[in-house]
Amino acid sequence: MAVAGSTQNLTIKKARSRELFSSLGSGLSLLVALLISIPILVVFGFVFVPAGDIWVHLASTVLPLYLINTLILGGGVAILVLTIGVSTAWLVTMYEFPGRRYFSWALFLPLAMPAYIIAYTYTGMFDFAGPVQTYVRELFGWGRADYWFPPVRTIGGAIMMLGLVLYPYVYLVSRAAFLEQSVCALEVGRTLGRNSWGVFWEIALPLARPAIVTGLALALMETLSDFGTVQYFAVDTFTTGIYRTWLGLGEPAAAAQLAAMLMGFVFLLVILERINRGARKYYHTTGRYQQIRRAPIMGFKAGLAFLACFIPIFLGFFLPTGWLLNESISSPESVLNAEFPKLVISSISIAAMASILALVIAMLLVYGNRLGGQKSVSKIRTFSLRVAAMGYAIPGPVLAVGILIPFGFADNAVDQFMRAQFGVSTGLILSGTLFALMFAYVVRFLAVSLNTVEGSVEKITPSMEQAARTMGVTGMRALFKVHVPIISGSLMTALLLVFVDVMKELPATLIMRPFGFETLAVRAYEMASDERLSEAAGPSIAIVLAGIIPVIILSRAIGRSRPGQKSGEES
Amino acid sequence: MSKLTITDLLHHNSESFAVKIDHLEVDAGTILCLLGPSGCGKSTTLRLAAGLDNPEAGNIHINGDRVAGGGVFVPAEDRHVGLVFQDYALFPHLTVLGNIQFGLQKMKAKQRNGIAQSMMEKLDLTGFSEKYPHMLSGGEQQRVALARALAPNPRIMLMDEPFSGLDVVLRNHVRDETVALLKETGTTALLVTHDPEEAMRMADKIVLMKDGRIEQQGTPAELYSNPNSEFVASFLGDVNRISASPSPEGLRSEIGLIFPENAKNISGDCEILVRPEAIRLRPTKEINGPTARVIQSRNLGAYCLVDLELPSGKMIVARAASILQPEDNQVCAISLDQRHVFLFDPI
Repeated sequence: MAVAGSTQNLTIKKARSRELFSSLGSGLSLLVALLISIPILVVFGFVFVPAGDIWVHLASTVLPLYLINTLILGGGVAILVLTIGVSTAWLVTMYEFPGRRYFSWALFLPLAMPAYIIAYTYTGMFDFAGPVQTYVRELFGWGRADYWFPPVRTIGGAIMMLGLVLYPYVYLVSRAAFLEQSVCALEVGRTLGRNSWGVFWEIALPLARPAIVTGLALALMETLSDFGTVQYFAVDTFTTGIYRTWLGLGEPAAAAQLAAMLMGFVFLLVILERINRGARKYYHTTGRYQQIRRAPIMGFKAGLAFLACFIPIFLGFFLPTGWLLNESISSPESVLNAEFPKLVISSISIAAMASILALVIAMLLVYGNRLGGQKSVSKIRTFSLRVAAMGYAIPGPVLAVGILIPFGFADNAVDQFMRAQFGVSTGLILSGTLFALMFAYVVRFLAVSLNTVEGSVEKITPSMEQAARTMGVTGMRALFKVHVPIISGSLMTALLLVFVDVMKELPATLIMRPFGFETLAVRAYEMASDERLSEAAGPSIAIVLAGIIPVIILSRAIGRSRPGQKSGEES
Repeated sequence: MSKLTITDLLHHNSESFAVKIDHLEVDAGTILCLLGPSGCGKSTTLRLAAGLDNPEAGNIHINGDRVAGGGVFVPAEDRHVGLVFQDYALFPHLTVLGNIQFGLQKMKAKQRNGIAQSMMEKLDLTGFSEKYPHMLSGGEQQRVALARALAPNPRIMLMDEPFSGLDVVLRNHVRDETVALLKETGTTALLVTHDPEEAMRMADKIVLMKDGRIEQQGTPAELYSNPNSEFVASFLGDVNRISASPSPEGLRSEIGLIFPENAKNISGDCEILVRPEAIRLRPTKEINGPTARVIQSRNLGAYCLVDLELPSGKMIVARAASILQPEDNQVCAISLDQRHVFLFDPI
């Protein structure tokens, strides 16, 4: 009896400590989620703050220009990424032609190329003083006014640059959608009188539409948040406008309102697609997956398919990378100077710190949510989790606004308090520190690690945990024996993806970095802005090389994604 | 009314697997079932008939028109055939009406609507026209798939396991409905299935395939009662395998004498195949005849399955009407219905 009683006590104790642990964990995760959502809430909060005369000024001067440029840029990039992304995805999924295997993953490569870097590169190659025009002039003995050459630094050039590096988003989702489609539906379409062109337009494309819109939305968010390219090409868009209104005019409220308008564009697009979708469901009404039989194409058509895939990869990756390598080699002092290792170290260390921090927070949030807790709390937590994940949709300069405003407020409050109480001025504690920058990175890229961690933790079903429990494996042991082995691969992926995103990040770093702190991205931008393009090549090539890592991860993941396809078969 | 003829067909599905069909004919207005275990090449044959794949060699004619072979290849979109898959493959982004009208795009709107309406009436789908496929039950989806395939008035209807997605109760009902509709519209149909019961229930003619070849073709009754190989006999129904040896009176086995036509070719020991319903059980009266002891019997409603132990210890299964269900451990006398006892030449 006594033994039974003590076991019972122990069980109760265990249950209590578990309860305490879980409520502590969920409280902490709620707190973190709320902290992360602050900048996003600040930006949206500013929509309701009257900004006064500045709007009259903006509306009468630059706002129409921002609006028109942003619309042209967005529309142009949309057309370009849809054309390239969808057509190449369809070709490599449905047809067999020379090089198809390599194209299926090489088409991701331009993802490694940040837009601002490809912009400098093309300027370096094709501007008046660049090698191409110089060669043309020498060849024909022409002078400056004797010929016309498409100008690079225009809005058309910006569309080209952004389209070339952003089409992989559309390619990625379209390919996944085409791989998942029911071959049977396409074949039935054939017997109902449609040739392969008709099957594509009337069946495959409508079915892939929700996925394609998701990819397009990602590409457009990147376009709208792009700062480096448009700034360098002197195309005035919302994003450069926000930068200028905030730093030039000193109007944070107006900048935040511009930012909110910008977000509105993206949400409008997504909502329009939802309305248009109506009652239709796009998932396939089937559980059976036949292997896709790629139809072989030969001769002239095979040549066209080859070019359709090769040109975007060449223009979006190999040409600019080749030029950067060539520049780095021909002026080695831009790479092998004393500063370069310092830049690499600061870039890598800040990216490593941010990615680890983002991962830890993502784990905390995901497990906090999993542990459950009271219903009311869990609702707030789910909401703040969603808000926290929105950071990815928020352009860097906007995010900087959302962080610097509350941080500045906190700094001032502390400073005033300390001065009033102790007569000491504390100055800026948070603003302009590495902490603020790190915070910005985490808010911006948390969605990446959050989605990856969430996806992999979902694979651990409650029944797995229960099975482990029946075998006496609980608590920390269960975490290490069940969870860690299952999710460790995904955790690595989450780390790498955030790492590279941070390495590439430019606008937030530019605005928020501590005085004198430089990264590869910042240096590349500064050198390019000073027209010292060859000196920008060294840092740029380092960023591009780092960017190839997630491309490999992504292409491996998508090859495995088709249900019913053996892992080795699809590549 | 059209007929489908396939001759001298050869097509490699993979390096190691080929479909080879010398002659296969679906008569106008009839239903032919391609039956066989999975991987026997029946679906490949269907795809070739549909024009989804181009055969390496051989000819396919629909109603005398060459659609494949001799340098001719009419692709699926120009072949005027209807296709129904196991999962129906309805277009999820189109309504029921949109699905049914999909194959009528060359007609005027009025004509298109008329055909779709009459199709929906025929298949009891009125009122569903504005619904999307995911809102329908399995049986309704199946009917939409059938309506969609029949609407353009196809020359041949091709169906790949069209009923296996349905639950058992619904399946029999839908099968009968489908047969009735095909007969009513006079549509020639080629149906692929791995289920012998389905084939026997629906087909005018069954073609049984194995390893890419045709094993036997004929009416369901012919295949069941006169199988030409062990494979055919055992694929179409359960069989007991019992060893036998030649004797002056006939083939002697533990369950009695049998007199197959080809018994004279047998010189040594052989194996005979006996369908469970060929074994008749009676209470033992005479001592001389073959006997077996009942181990257990399972009542399956109309009939019962009886597990029997022969004196040698060998187990066999018999099928008997439920009212004749014996008791466990009872010893019964055995007699044979010679029509369902088969002997195949040892290969």
